[in-house]
Amino acid sequence: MGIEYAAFRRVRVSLSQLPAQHYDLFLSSFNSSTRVGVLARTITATRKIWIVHDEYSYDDSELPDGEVMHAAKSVAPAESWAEVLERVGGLSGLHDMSVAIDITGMMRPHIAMLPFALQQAGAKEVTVYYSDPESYVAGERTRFTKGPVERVGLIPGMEGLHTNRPSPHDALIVGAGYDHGLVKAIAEDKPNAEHIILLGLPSLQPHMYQESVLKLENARESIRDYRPASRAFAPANNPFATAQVIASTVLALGSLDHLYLSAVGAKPQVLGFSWYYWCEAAGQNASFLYPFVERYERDTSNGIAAIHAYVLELAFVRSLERPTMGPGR
Amino acid sequence: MRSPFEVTKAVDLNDPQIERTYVAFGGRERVIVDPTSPMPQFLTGVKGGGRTHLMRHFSYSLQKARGTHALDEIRADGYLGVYFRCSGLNGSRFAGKGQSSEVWSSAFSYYMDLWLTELLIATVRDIGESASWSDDDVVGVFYAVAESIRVPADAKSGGGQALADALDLLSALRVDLDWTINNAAHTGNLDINVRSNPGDLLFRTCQAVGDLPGFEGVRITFLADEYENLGYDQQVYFNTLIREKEAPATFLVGGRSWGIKTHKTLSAGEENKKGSEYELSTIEDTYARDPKAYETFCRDLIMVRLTDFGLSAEEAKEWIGRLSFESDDRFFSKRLGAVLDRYAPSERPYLVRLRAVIRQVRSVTVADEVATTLAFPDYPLLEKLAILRFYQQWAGGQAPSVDIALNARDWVAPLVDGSESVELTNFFNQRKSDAVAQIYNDANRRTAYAGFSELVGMSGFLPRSLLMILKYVAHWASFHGEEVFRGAVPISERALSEGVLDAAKWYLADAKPLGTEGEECEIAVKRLGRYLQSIRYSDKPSEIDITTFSSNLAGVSEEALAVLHRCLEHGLLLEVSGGRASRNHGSTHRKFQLHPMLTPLWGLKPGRRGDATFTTETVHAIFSPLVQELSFSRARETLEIALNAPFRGVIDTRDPLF
Repeated sequence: MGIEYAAFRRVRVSLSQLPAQHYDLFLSSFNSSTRVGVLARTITATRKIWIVHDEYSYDDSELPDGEVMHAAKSVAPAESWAEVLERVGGLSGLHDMSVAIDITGMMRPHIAMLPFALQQAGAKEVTVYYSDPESYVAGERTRFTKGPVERVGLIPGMEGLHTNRPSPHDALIVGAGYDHGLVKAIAEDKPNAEHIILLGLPSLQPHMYQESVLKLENARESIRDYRPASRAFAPANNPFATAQVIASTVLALGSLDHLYLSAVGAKPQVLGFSWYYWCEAAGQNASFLYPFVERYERDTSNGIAAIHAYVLELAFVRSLERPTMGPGR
Repeated sequence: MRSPFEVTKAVDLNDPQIERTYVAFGGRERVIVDPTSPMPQFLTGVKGGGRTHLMRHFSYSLQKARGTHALDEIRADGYLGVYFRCSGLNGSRFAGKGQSSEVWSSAFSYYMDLWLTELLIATVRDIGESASWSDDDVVGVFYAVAESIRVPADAKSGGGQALADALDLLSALRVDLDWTINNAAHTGNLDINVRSNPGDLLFRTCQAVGDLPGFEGVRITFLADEYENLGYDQQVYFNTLIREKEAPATFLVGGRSWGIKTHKTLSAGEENKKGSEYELSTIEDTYARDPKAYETFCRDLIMVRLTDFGLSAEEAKEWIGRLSFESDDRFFSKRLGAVLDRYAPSERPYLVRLRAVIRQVRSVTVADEVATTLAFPDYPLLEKLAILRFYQQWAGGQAPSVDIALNARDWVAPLVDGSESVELTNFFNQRKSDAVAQIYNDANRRTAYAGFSELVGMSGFLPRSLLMILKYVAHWASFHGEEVFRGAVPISERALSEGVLDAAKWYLADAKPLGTEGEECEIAVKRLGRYLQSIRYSDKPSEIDITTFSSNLAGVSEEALAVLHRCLEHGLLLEVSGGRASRNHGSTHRKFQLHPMLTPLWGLKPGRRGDATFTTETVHAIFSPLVQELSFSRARETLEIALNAPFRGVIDTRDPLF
């Protein structure tokens, strides 16, 4: 019996509703977009912390007032989260806290690791916010990354167990967005796997689905068996529906030697991939793959179309138990 | 499937398809590499040479499929092919997480031994299903494993000593390692109990397998594909296995040329030497040594796909012929006439430009008379060659005049009735390709490419590139409503042009390396292509069918050299062996060719003929990532001024190109 992802709580909120909810701790990744700044100003919390990612290349003079913690690019997300959360409250420091996190400006590998990091820090339940943009600054030509993909690799700590067969049946599920270069790099890194492209549908805005499909066409030669039948769809602003679709897709794929997950689309979609991974795939033959880029644009969107709140119930996160051993260690 | 060329990568083919589409190069097996060779072999090259196809052909699953009894096939073949992809190891796991590289090196060595041994036993177990080995036969394999990893033979629950039990032991250890390696990211600890000395487990197990009934004299060949996925330290360990290998084990390693990072070993820091510890073959170089055999190989590949698609052998042969232009005279008058159809004979674009430039330096009257003199309304190619001759004399220092035009006309006119001299025949044969390309270009048409041989040449000894060309050509022909795989009508020139152009774009995107390095390579080859384009489409091309340049590279900056070498490693450029003797002082220049797959992007000819000598400054302007676009454009403009009428360019005398 799988997890009923539709039962997880999510709600669309307005800016005016936000102050009514008070949190002990609010974390948000800093960037220059309006939607990140507005949410951080509006939410009420005892302690607000900006996480500053190297990938945005801010220097100290550009950083906002308030408490700031750096997430260095050279430090893997697991370690980075451990540093941040330990400074917030030490081991199990989130145990009694009400916590909210805005993932709108967060680097995707950090979102991928987020559920496990929160669970390890003792959190039971966390509200994750995401703000839809009204539009992107240059439509489908908006560049989110600055510079090319430098390498594709597994996110440390999300590497899973491996099987060993001459002709393995692996699958790669890619959550795609506008940046076809990222999809291309991921697909080319695992050319032997069965490729499934998961697209946001409905998309954040009505035109964005078509634009994503158009952009995806540029990566067609790298995607194995590129055709509509190898695509899956989930609402771009609903991580739990995304997780549900991944779960169904994995079931339909049958017995796999290894499952690779990678999400480079909208942040709620990334959260959905992450949520599926930590609820069902962690400790199994499954890994989270990511195309690492040197820099990201600081501001790619206009306005706020909607604000979403997703409640992560962290008791669902799997523990990483040691496999049963044969001959002893 | 809409086309027999839809699938172009070996990874997209299942085992039966691999075997069905396999063609032996030169018509003989094991010409490129020999899986029975006791000498370890590296099979390298750029993407698309057919390495994976060949290695899978050698793999156990296909050995088994070729007969009814696996062990009989293996004995007949003389080897057991244990195939695996290095990408499956996900080598990036063995780094970081607060551990030193020494710790990871040790963990990886152990993991690799477990991995290879597990694969071997899984393969042998499959053979055992039809080999009717007794328990006593296989117990030696179990003991080899158990003793190597220091596990009491009865430690496993149930106490079995079958191949499956050995496999369980190894799998359990490896899975525990997987867990430990993953969790190091969360805990900062990497607590691994390495249970065997490097190589012991693997080679002892190989020897035990070699003692199985039926394995007498059989080589166990580990076919390690996608070797570029292993990091430097990981390759050092694999090289150590290669160096320390014990019979009956041997290795055949497949990987991209740039992915062979080192031949160093852990054996007292020794480096494996080519010829002593390993042999190395670059697959496209093997093809290139016999271009005729390569074309036959390609023809056979295409025939196999076409017949598999449902065409008869005769239809398949005819289809290959449909890739050629329609029959024409030696001056391509029908084809070029069609290209220029929308212009009145006296208004052909190159005549218009000729008149305009002469008007600038002489007069309207002279311009008109020159143009009239050089016109061959029924033979556009001769017209173009006469104009070229005229420009050559102008560039040589003679003022443009009707007399020169008459000389030029008289020079080419004998071609009309075939009364030409040997010198003129050579001029015609050498210059016609550029002239035809210029006529297309002048008429705002893309350069045409056709004919199986030309497309094979364009593939640059990479069979996948040929498949991609045919895939795109078939796509465009279908898009234009042509009967692509039926009938006898040639595939349209339009579909061929669009197809090769798409294939060229694909090649550039596919071949370039990842990251900033890839961007730098792309900028460099695009600059090179534009520079060569400026030569080919000039009034007086300094070289014939230019795709090649040479340079002594003296004084070229390190960053420019790094980009140039990366372009070579990734198949964006080819180095011509032997280089070229310098025109000035006898020293040897290195010679480089733009990869033929890229030539359609700039309307260049895929083959190699002329060779431009580049100065240090030119090489720098093209390959240095520090040179801005504006500076490169200036270098190109200087070239264009020198090569185009009225030939007023300031010529850099240091550059023999001019």
